[in-house]
Amino acid sequence: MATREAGKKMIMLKSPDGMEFEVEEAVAMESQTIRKMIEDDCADTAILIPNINSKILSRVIEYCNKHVPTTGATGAAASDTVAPAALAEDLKIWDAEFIKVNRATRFNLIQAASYLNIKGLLDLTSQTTIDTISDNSLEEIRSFLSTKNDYLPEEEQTIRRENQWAFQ
Amino acid sequence: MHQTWWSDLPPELLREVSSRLHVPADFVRFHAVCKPWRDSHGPSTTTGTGQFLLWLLAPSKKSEDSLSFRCVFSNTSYVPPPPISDGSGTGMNWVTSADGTAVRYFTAFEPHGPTFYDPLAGGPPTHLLPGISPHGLGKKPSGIIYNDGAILVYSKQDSIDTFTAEFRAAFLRPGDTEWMFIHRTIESPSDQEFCVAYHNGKIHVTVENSLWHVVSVTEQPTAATNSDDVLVLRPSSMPRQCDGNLYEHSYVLESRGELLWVSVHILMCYPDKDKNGIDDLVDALSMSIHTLEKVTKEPEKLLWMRKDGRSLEDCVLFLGWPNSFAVDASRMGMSGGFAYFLYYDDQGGRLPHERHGVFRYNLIDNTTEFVEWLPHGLDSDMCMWLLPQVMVAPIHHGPANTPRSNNTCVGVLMPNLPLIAKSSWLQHLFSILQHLFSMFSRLFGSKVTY
Repeated sequence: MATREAGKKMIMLKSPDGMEFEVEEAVAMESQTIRKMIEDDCADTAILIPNINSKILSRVIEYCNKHVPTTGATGAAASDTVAPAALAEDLKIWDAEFIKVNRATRFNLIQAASYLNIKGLLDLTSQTTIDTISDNSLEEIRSFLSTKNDYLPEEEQTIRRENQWAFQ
Repeated sequence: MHQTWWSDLPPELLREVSSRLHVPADFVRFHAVCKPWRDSHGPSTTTGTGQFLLWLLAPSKKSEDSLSFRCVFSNTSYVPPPPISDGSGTGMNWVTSADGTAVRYFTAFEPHGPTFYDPLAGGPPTHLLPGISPHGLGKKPSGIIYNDGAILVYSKQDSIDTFTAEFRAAFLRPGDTEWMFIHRTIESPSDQEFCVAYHNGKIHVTVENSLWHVVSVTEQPTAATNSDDVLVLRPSSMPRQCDGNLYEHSYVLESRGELLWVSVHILMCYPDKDKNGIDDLVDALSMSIHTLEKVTKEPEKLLWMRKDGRSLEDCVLFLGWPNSFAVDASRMGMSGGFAYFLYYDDQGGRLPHERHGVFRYNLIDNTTEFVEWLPHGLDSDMCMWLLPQVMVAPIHHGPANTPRSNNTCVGVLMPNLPLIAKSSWLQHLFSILQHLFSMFSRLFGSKVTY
């Protein structure tokens, strides 16, 4: 397995469209799915990530890079000199910017977070979906998320009638 | 560009997202977006305690027969329409489950006799065992359904002239073939709040913070009189007026097999002309907790003993009227050792409008925090907490030409209820049977009993 710096194990991630990403093992292990593969010794020279194209995979790696605990000697941020609260606040701002993407990217990101089992990214992508639900009417939710309304008019009426309080 | 359909997200991912929904209305709307989103929940799975933020319920100011629901933690309110109006505006009240997971409108009035209505999920009413005379139960009875299935409905009517109050209750346990009635005349200095609880096979009742009457219901107590009751005095450990504490109001609840009596007190020095802000109010509020203990068995002697708040460090108490309950903090994902309660503040009549606030008492360090003033319309003394339980069932069942039953809904469930068909399909069947029976009885003039 490739080793770029002393003490830093590198992992190669491959997207189905043929792109390769070399990342630190600690970054890749932000994904519980990849962690399990590494721990079970299933990771050989490179790990193929099915169903996640290079564009999305690069965004996921960007997220993991930012969120990997910076306790190592050569961590990106000198965490011992920055208060944890300030660091958390910085991450929150970064996350808010990170998720300002179009609907299709968000859709792919939430799927990638689920497949790769990255809790923080799943929380972040889920929360934006939840915000859409909290802030909008049912029609608006369907429109924003471009979901197919497959209820018969009679079924829709039943749902709304029996839970009027939730549609106020 | 390839069209992405959010409805195509895999069910396990949809469940991940919906498990993060803490506002019940959001949960309902999430599962109303499309069929795959609804079906992602699996068949008839109940989602409840721990996932959703609590509601506070109060009678609506606009209509006496209606309820207002307020989620203090998410600043949202709902007012579901009243299920029926009995016309009098005095017969409808609510009954709740002791664990705070469900609420039902209750009426004892004709033509149906004692009946529960679900204010949220709607659906057909649930008829209880007949035999309660609404007049025998007094005005606006409310009550509690206990975890063992026992139903206690009661009312209090003051007789200002004699400084007494008439307490009337009807009680039914699972398996009972008739309601048990209790009527007591208890001392009541004026129109005061009262506390009622069923605990260890006995009904405990008091008016204000004075004498408790413990009424045994192990046998039919209809003929019993006040003299059979065990009386429990106000404990000397309760904060006293001579020490500058004014008694405000009480809550009573069962927690881990113990009966807890929680009293709210305020320092007499509040409000003062210079000290009438919210900080002064929280500084003046305090809480005392007592637990009922048996001192001797024969003759039975009971005493209220002071309870250290630290013994409740892993609980959160939600205090309201008529029902209060304690939950494990870890189950709610909340910090333990707190009690949420309500306080009505008019600063001794100095404020142009009274205001009702939600407060949180720290049982460990005995301090009070202000949570929020309730919006107008929800500012009642009769506020009660509810732990919403939401059920999601698939919208489509079997062949398209099968008549759809009422289980095709998202509803708020009421667990552990006797006499209530847990399956709404059974309720539906029951209402059809009733309809048929009533048709037969009209046709043949016979009296039908259920």
